[in-house]
Amino acid sequence: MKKIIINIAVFAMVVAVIVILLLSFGSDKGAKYVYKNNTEHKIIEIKPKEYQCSECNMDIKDLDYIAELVTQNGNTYFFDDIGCVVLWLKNHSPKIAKLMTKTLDTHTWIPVEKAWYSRTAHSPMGYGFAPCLKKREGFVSYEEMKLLMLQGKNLHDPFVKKQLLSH
Amino acid sequence: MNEIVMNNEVIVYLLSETLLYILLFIASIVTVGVLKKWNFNHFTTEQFTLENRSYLVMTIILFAIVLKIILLPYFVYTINALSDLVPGAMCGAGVIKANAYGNPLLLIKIVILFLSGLWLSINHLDLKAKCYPYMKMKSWFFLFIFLLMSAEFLLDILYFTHIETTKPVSCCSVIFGQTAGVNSLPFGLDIPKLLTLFYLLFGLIVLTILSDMAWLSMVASLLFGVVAYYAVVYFFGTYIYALPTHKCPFCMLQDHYWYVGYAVWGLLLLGIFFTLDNALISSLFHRKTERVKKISLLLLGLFVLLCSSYVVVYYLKNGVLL
Repeated sequence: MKKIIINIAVFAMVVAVIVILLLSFGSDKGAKYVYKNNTEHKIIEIKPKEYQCSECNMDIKDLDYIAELVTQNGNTYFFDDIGCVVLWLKNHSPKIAKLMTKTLDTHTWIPVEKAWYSRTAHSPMGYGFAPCLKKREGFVSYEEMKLLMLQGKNLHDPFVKKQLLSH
Repeated sequence: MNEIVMNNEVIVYLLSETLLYILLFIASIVTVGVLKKWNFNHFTTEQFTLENRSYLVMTIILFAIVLKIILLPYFVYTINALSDLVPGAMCGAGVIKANAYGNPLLLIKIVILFLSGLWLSINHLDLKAKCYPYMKMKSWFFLFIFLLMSAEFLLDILYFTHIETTKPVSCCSVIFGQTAGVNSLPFGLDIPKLLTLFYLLFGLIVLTILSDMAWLSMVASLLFGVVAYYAVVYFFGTYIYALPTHKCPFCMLQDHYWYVGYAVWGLLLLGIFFTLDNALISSLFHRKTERVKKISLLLLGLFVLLCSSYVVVYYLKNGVLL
């Protein structure tokens, strides 16, 4: 009798473990990083927190700073900060069809090379770079921004921060 | 010379590992010789010499393996001690991730711990019998473990010689911290489901051990190992640190937390090991393992009690949960 009760308890527990695992698998939406099959290479408009940044894994909440990279095969990657684009491209070499960013001043999409970058903005990752359509004093080009980012000369560096924000 | 390699703990650790590796290397060469000529049915002087030699070698292996098992917590202690030297590291989590060799090294050490423990059990069975029935099996098994130990020794050297003291590493809050939107738990679990699984699997292990369901207890204990790791890091750990945002498997090994991490991880690893050991020995060798059963139940019971008590004590003290 005791053995039967133990067997029933073991069976119930195994079933419960399997059910919990299946429920978890079923409800797992997972992190969303890539929009696939964008073969027309369009800009994908997303909602806040709908996708995560491919570099830093953070939710993309502030759509003013968003950047999108569309590859030749239609994969679209999202970034919450232009600094993340630079860091991601350091370790990845996709065949890029389109690399666009939203501008902070006009809220329009433009290619990253055409934007001018402020160095002291409150960007989501705190690097300070914010893309703008119109050039202003102290703004840098994409190539300069890329170099500064790779050299670590952004607002994460206390010396750079002091230098830039003391003006 | 790298500042890390000149650290006292690292010198002691690497020297001990080197000495043990040399001993095991000699033992492995002798084991190959014994394996080639071993035949227990031969009543020759050569066989008699081989039996004596194998006894000596097995004693050396036993000694080296026991010391290697003791060296695992010392390795963890060393990693924690290095967090003072590596910029950015607040505990062992940053140090272990200081280069690409850290995590594979820790993993291979745990695998070797389990396999070595199993070897000790087979050796114990072999020595208890009169005719060395598992001699060949345990020798081949030792040679396999020795291969892993060679990889471990290589990783040990590569790891400690490649830790840079000028390059900042991430601290545990970055490595294990909650990244918004990303679920850090496996199988898409959330905390309530993780905890339900934790206690369910513990109950399942207890029942399967008591009712001699060897294979089921083995599967349950392996799954429990994974679930318990995440439960400690992402739930029970926050009560150990009394901070809901602090999620780290290494900080609890420090003196601020009374080194409780050694008890937590030690009880979990040994509990799972003895459950697996009990399952394998009873199903493969058909031996009664009542003592091992009791030990595994005691260790896992203490582990669950220790983890749960942190939550209960916190609730009783503060009247709320984290």
